[in-house]
Amino acid sequence: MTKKSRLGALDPRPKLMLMASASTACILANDLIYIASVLCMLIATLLIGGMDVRLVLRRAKAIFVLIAMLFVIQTFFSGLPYPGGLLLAAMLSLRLLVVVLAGLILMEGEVRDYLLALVQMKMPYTLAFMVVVGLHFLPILREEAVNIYCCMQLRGKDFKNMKLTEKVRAYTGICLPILVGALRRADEMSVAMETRGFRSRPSRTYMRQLKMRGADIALTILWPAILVVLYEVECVF
Amino acid sequence: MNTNPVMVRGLNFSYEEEGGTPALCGVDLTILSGTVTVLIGPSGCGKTTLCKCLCGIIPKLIHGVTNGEVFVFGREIANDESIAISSLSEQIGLVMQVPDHQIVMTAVEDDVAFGPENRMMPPPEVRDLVDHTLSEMDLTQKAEADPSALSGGEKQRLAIAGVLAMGPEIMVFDEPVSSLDSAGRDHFVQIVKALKEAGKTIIIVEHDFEVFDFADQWVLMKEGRIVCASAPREIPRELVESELWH
Repeated sequence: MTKKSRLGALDPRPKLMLMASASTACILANDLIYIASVLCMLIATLLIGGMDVRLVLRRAKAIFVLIAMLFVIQTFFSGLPYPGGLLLAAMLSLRLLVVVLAGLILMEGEVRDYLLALVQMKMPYTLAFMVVVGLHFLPILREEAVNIYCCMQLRGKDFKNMKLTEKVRAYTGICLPILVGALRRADEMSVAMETRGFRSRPSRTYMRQLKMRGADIALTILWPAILVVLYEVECVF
Repeated sequence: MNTNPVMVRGLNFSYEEEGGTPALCGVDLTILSGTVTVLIGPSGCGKTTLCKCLCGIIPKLIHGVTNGEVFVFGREIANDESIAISSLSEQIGLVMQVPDHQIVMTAVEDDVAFGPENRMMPPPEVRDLVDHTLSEMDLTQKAEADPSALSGGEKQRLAIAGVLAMGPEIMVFDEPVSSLDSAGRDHFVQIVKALKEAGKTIIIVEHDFEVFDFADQWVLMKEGRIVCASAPREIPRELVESELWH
């Protein structure tokens, strides 16, 4: 079993709280310095939490490129005189960075713990279960897509040298079997769940229970508190 | 009163509402307690459909035209709409052909706990039951693993563990060894023998019938009908071969 990072060892609830509070604060705030401060705090949390920086960069490489492109477009095409466009672009880009990095924190943890966390946060089990099953199926669907892509290539489809219209048609040919397979899988799974008593009683029990420790409670309180204090400081100066 | 684990009387089923090819025609079958029964027949002969009828999946979840009676421990399930699938799961459990379709949780032990938790079993009892079942299926070392990372044989053992944790008296296996190597098949045979020793009634759907020559009953099916049902030594191999491949 792989060794967990400090963030990975935390209860999922403070991580959910951190993600929600940081993202909300940055979306609501209209001040570049405030957003930059939150971003710095977030990066510090990720580093102290032992998150693998190279892994973060690899996972979100495409999003970072997209944010950089948005920055350039916003700077030159916002229609605002200098430095208005630049400031707007910086604010928008930093906001997106905060949302993405806050989301990456959730990757430090196990899906099964998030299910329990959502339930212990009083989310209905059926809803939490659907969210988790959806996340669980993403890699399986991806694997199916890769298999179909390989099969089509083995049967003579040359994706690289296709025209755009041909490509669209070919990718439709990949999507349809995945969709049909997903529906069939969902059907079988619903039968399996039914035969194992899913929703047969008004409630259910849970073999495991999550317990908040000192570090979890501290993070749950500290992050929103620092966000509020930072906001107040920005307002004063 | 009839208390046989399974008794089927004059069962007919068609997937289509009108004029469809019948999947089952006049099926009569009795399965005694603590026995191993193997359903044999060519693809499309109605073996899986019969299993789904025994578990109540047909007609409760998969609809079609059903006639006849299916008794599970004396309770008629095919025509009684008040019986829920979940209540049947305490008496009869189905291990599907593809284990991936049956594994619903993201950790091995959570998947085994899924059924007992749904039945509101107290958490300490769920923990004991999960540990015991994982140990029986030789999966203790994989308790916290992601099921998608398991081998084919391990996934199948997990699917069995998930059903076993529901505590059914009857266990139905749909083509359990079709995707296993010879070591996996041997392991599965050992599991079936252990379940039989524990007093469970076992029903297996399988093409490779020779693997289960220790069964108490072979049921030979063709085109939705039962051709013969008897002890393996009483059924001529030539008959089985001719019904299967011709």
